[in-house]
Amino acid sequence: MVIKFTINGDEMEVDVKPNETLLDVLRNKLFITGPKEGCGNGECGACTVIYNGKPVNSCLILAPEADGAEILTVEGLTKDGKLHPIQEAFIEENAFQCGFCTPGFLMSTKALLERNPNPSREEIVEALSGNLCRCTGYDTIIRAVKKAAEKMGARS
Amino acid sequence: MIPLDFSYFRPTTLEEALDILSEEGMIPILGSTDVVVKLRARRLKPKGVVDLKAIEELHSFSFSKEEGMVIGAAVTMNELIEDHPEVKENYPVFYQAIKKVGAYQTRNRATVAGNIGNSSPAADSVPPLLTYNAKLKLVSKEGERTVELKDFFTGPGKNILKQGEIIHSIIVPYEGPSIGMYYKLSRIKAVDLSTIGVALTVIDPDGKRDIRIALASVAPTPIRVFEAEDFIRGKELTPEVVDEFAKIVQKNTSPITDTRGTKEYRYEMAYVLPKKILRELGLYEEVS
Repeated sequence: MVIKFTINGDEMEVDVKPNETLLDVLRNKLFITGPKEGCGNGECGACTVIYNGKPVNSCLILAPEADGAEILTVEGLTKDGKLHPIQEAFIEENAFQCGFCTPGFLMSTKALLERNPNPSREEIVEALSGNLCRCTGYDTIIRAVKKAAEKMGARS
Repeated sequence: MIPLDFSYFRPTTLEEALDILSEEGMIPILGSTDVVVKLRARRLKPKGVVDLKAIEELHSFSFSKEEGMVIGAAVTMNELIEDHPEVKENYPVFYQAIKKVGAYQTRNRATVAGNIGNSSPAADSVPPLLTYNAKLKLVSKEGERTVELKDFFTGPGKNILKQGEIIHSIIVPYEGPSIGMYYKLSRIKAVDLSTIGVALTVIDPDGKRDIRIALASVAPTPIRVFEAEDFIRGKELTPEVVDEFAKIVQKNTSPITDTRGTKEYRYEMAYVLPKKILRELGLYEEVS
């Protein structure tokens, strides 16, 4: 079946099967490989995308469910070759090592800062609790989110 | 790719949905957060999935002191947490519990109706709803019926829904102001299923002080312990009374050992947590 959705600002039509997930379609049909498949069970958050304004696990959405959706992946964060302030903050704070979980963290962070431009440490931890990182120990990530909030104009 | 062939339907009216669902092998989906996991593990092998999210009336939410809270099946947990302050204000124990379901991402998709329909003994949204005397409106092609949530579950993953019948909405009566706590123990603080979950709700804490208690992950279904409630009703909360209350709660559990914990640990916690919650709520002091 053919579904229509908007990905990173581009309207697309894709032929999908009911047993494909949104993540399968993004990665294998559209070659948008920012979202990663970690657990495939909604536990690791590596596949997080922003879906109609909200972060979700794209591995838990059947492709046909995404008909009509507006989706933002990490590829859509960069504008005209310029990194998003969240991406800059992650680099400056060394908030990743292997990088596998990073696109998911960036998307969760983007959604958090949109609903709460100046989150407390506790609010950051809660918002990122669905994203696993096995390298950093999270401290640098939390610092990066704080820094990103400052860069994006929040008063601290 | 899910190693299974099935079809997908997205009806826009309830009638159409119930028509498709009356056929053998069709299952409803809402947030699909449990269903996709089960499909992938081939624990569910439906002929087709019927996505109920395009049905407008299932997205409704209302609250009044007279009618209570009515949650449409398709309302997500994060909508209840973020968009409807009535939930936190009038059903604080339920609010605490749904904040502990999965992760933020999961709660943007997951629904309470789905949590109930999935019928896991570990469903976090259920114990508080049991303490608030929740009811379910079930609909099928044949008509509708309203059942008590406490009569809904029949075993792990099992419930009284018939083929073609869906949870239309959850009705939670308003019986007055309440305080309480949902205490969830899990192996990790972030995303995990409950090793044990205890909902203790006190309706009208400054008046009749009606204490209610329900638990997840200590029996084949979530349970409410009426025997303990009957025992404590009207009594002064002395250490002896609270201890006996906790013992009655514990006696009513029948936990098992699984990957999340042993039956001995769960049994012990079923005694420890009711006391701990009453203490943390400031309702009694332990004499040491």
